[in-house]
Amino acid sequence: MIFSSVFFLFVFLPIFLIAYHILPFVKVKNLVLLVFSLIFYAWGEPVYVILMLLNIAINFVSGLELESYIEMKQHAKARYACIFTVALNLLILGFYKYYGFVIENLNAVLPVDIPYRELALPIGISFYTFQTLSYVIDVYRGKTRAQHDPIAFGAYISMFPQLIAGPIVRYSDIEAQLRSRRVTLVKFGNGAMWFLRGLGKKVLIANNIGSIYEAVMLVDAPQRSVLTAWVGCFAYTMQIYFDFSGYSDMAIGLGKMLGFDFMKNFDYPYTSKSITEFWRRWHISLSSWFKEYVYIPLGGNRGGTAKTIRNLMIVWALTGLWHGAAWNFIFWGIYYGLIICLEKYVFQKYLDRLPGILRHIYTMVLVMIGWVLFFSPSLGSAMTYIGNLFGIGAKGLVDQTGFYFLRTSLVLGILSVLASTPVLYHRFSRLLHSRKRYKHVVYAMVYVGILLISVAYLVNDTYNPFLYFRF
Amino acid sequence: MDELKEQRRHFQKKNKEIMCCVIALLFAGIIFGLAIAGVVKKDVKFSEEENRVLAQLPTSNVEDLKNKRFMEDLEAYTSDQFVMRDLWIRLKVYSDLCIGKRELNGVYLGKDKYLIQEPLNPDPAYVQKTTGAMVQFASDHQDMNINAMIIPDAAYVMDQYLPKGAVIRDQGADMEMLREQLAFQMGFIDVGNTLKEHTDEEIYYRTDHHWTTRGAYYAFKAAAEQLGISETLKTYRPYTVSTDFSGTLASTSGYHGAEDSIQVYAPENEDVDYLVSDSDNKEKRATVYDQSALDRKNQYEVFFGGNHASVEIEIANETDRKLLVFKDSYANCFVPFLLPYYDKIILIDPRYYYEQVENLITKEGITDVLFLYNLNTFMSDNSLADILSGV
Repeated sequence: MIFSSVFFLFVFLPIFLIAYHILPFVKVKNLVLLVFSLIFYAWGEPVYVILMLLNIAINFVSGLELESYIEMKQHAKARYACIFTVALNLLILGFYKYYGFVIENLNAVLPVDIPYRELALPIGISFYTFQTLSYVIDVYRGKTRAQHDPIAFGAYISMFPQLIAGPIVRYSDIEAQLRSRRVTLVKFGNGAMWFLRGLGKKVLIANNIGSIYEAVMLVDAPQRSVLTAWVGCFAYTMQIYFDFSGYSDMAIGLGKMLGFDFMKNFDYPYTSKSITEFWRRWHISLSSWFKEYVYIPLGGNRGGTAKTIRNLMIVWALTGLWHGAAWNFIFWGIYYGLIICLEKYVFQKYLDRLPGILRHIYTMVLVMIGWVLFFSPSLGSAMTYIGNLFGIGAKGLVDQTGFYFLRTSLVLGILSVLASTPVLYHRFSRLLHSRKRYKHVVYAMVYVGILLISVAYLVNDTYNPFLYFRF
Repeated sequence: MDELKEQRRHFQKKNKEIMCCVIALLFAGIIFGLAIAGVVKKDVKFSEEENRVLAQLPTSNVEDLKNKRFMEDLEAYTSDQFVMRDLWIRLKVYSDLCIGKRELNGVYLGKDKYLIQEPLNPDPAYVQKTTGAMVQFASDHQDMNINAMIIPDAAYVMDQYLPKGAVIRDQGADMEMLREQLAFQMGFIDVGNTLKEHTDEEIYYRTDHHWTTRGAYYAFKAAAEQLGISETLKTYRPYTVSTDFSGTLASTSGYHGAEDSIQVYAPENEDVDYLVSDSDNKEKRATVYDQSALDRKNQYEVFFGGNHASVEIEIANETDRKLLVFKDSYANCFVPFLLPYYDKIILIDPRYYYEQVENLITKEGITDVLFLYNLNTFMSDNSLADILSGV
């Protein structure tokens, strides 16, 4: 099930909200949350819900085990148990997500053909595996106590608001909230605003501009003009941002409606003036996870230049791989690893001297090329597309088709550019600071409008993709 | 000064809190309101506006739960039976047009409010199977006069009505390919250029994927000689039978900005006597037109009352010619022009026909065969190949 669907909005959500808010006590609410989360998950993955339950059980028990070793000061055993649990989680993730990919590549180089069957990827497995890993490691490090209530633990792992597309919520951030949390009407309303902004981002902007990207992709490479290529790349750039950050906003909003506070996942990444800054603002919960659990344990930047570069490249190759079991994602990760190393050791001092607008253009061009690597099915087609962007192998600079795409995406394009900077939202928020009543009415009506028009698109069953089925 | 700032901050915070409460109530009100309205509302079987059967409440069993059928059906049900569905569709189309979209659900909104369907991209292997079967059929029946007339879509004929630069399949190339595969074994009638000369004369409906009777008339005049009609053609006169036709493209796109008129053509000062019956209605009638269709949603069914597996027309002529037409719905407004020139015309729609064609040919003593299709349907439908090879 996805949030942006009629069924979620008008069947699942109302029933859940009533059950959740009518029943008393946090413990009961946690149970409601767990049960509905499992239904939510089973809706799209009836069989894999068993995998989810298994995951909850294994990590719950091993959390308790770890804690008891630590209390008895048996550090060697604790270390062993932690490595074992982490390895087991990674093994499950690896089996479902990377098995086919690994065998396929082995078959390509080995003389024998290993038979394999492509498994359907359990949705959200990369997100919830990373959450459980954060739990196990934090318990081992003594940063947090183990959870003794299986219901609360299950609710944390399977929590439907962030189950299928993040943000990756660390256990230590949410531990206290699992014990006690308050929902007020104000907080619920604030959550509804987050949710509606996210819904609008996803349904109104991402889906619509995404259909332009899809249309551009139907134009064969030799027929693509430079203009067509840029419009397509721009459309995808906007689609992935508004889709992904829309999901995160909806998750944060739903969380607030239930009394939780999740961390911000996107912070206007397209306003960045360097790639390093871009990754501080893009999918924050993922990059901070990698920093905390991979980069720093590897030694971070404390072992000299060579080691730092090695660590950065490991982190970025893994970041790429996390996004999907395919070479283009690995290249995409390595691409960012290289740029970040270059910025750190070479460019930064020059970049600092450039005017802001040039730094901004530099960043966006690199980000857009990155998305070409990301969306292309193979490295070859990515190279062809990037060539097209700069006129190599393209069908001229501009053509009628390019103008058609430009014309039909213009309004949406301008809107999406404005909405990807803080300008639009700040302007809008100022309506509330006015003493004029009608401005407050306008403010409320914008949210109502977003909801109603989004519903109109959802009722129509138009193009409504789920982009993270490979994560 | 600080106090003023403090006061201001307090005021802003208060405003935000009040607004949060307002939004909370509005959000809950709309979500719950629509959810409850959905439960109360009676289910509808058929949508006139969209011209399709709507999903109904599914029943569950273990198997359907396991393979997600039940979930999918239930989601389709909630969406199809949504309160005031037609209104939401209009809202969506309106906002699509506002943001500059000109393609709605596979239909382009072109110049002069013309709705133009995007032709599908068919599997070339399917197409070859069909043409292969046709060639085989023609070589098995060298004694008959066999013609194929394939009519391109509005997207090709009226391309200057499309939004400028819209990406569309090149049906000109498709026609050339078909000519190559068919023309050596049968008459290949390409009326594309004839139609292109009349694009400003409403030869296709604005709101429907069919050609108009006027389009069919121009095609008939161009094709008559190749069909072996040597006598001077009759003069035909158009009669308008409807002015409020809203076709399937209006339904699929959701755009209802235009209406069409439907015309029928009849030979002037002359009566052709004939009797019609079809596989769905054996009773013999003296007209190919079904007036009751004009009160239905799909008024194009005024021709022959829509598609039937087979239609038989016995005509009071003495030409010794008996025509068999393999056809789709494009033929329905074309065939009436043929009436004065044959003793008998049999129409077969392979999508619904399950009998042996060879038996029919022998029994009826067929002399002429015409394959009459719209290019888009012809390329994406494989029932013709099955019928011809007797499967």
